[in-house]
Amino acid sequence: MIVSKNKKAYYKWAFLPCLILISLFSCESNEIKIANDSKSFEWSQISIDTLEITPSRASQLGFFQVKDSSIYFVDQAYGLVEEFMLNGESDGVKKRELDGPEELMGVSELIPSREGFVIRHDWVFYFYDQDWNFLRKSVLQFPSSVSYDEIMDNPKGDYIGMYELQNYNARTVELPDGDLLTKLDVEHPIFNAFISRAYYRDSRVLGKIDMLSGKVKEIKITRPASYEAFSFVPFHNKFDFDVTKTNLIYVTHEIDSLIYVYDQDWNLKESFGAAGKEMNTNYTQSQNLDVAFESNYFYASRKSEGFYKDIFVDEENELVFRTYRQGSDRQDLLDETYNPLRLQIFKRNKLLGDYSVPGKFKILGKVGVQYIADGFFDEQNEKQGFYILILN
Amino acid sequence: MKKKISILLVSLIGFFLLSFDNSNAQEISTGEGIALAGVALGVYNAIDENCDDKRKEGTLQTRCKDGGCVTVSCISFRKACDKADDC
Repeated sequence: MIVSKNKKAYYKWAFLPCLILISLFSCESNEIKIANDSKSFEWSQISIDTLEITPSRASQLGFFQVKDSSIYFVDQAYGLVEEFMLNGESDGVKKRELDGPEELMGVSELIPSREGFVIRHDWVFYFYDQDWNFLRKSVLQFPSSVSYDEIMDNPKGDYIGMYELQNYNARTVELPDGDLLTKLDVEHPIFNAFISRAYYRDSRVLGKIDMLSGKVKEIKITRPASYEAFSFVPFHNKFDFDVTKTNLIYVTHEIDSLIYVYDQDWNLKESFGAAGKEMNTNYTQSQNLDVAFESNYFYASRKSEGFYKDIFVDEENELVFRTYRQGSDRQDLLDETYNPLRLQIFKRNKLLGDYSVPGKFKILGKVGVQYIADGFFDEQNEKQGFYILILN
Repeated sequence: MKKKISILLVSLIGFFLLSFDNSNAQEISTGEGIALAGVALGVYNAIDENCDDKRKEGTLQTRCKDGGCVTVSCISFRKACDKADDC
């Protein structure tokens, strides 16, 4: 529901002292009230605040992560991990690349763990304790139980040796048993998203990684049958997942409005969902490999077509958040993040709301009653911050 | 005699090359843009059979994928790159 103008004015005056205090810490908070254009909802107000931060060095090329009650800003150009409190105040740089015995070469992902933190750079995992002391590192490996010739001549979905990390919108999480779970892809010359139906039916999307050795020891979950409605949609073979504290795995695929829930034995438990609004689902379909070598097809598809994107599960409150892009006719969009993004909120598997959100909005975690989301980046004005979503 | 053998060899090679070219042209004829399916076949044939051994020594392969130059499996059909600008 949109907050009335009178209430807005009241809030502005009530929070004026707070704003002054925040500005003293070199932070700015810009509240964005978003309209709930769904007919049924249970919150009187949903709002997204933008909390700008001032890192010690910033290139506006990076991302945020949440662990416990702290927010971490990763500047990928400078190779820094800086901790911030919820009020936007810095608690200092905690890690920088090339600093220390581990020879950290960069930060592709920051993964919270019970032990402390895991940094993934390319295919290497660096493990740290809670105080950022280096513990060990391991290289991601896809061990093969069959010969190289067998993999090349007769690829099968259960051959771990032919898989690779899904780099685009990568996500790795720590499972309750301490292993890591990450997104997979396979680009075998004759078993891939461009020309192979077997890819859509048999390739696995998630890989369980032994945290000590870095070896992928299990690959699980295939794509849903909904992919059968298309010939080949290689630019939308992507997906996202979240794992709950009770070890349920929620998976959303880019072309499918359903959300699939798997139990700890990887069995499909249930599915639910709702289609997004006004999505352009006229997907570019391929018949051969030529489009794989022309990046423009990839970029155009990501900007103009609608697809489901990121998922976050608040198990305690039985809420599931999923974003989707609608697609755009505009030819001048710089990249995917300008493709209009919306957020669906499900409660007990029923859609309660569907809201327009900023282009890079992605819920990372929950601190108290506040959902922290990545992220606000303004390269022209050299500003960055994270979003705080509140349901009242 | 040598001349006849040479002509025969050239004919055979020419026949082989034309056949090879036609098979690829059919495969990509329905597609748009630059027809590079042959490149994939070339990569397929040129994949270093020892690439997994190289991995153990820490050598990871980077190829153009999803608009970037990223680390991939050694069997990937993608074009090799050193940096994003190569893609």
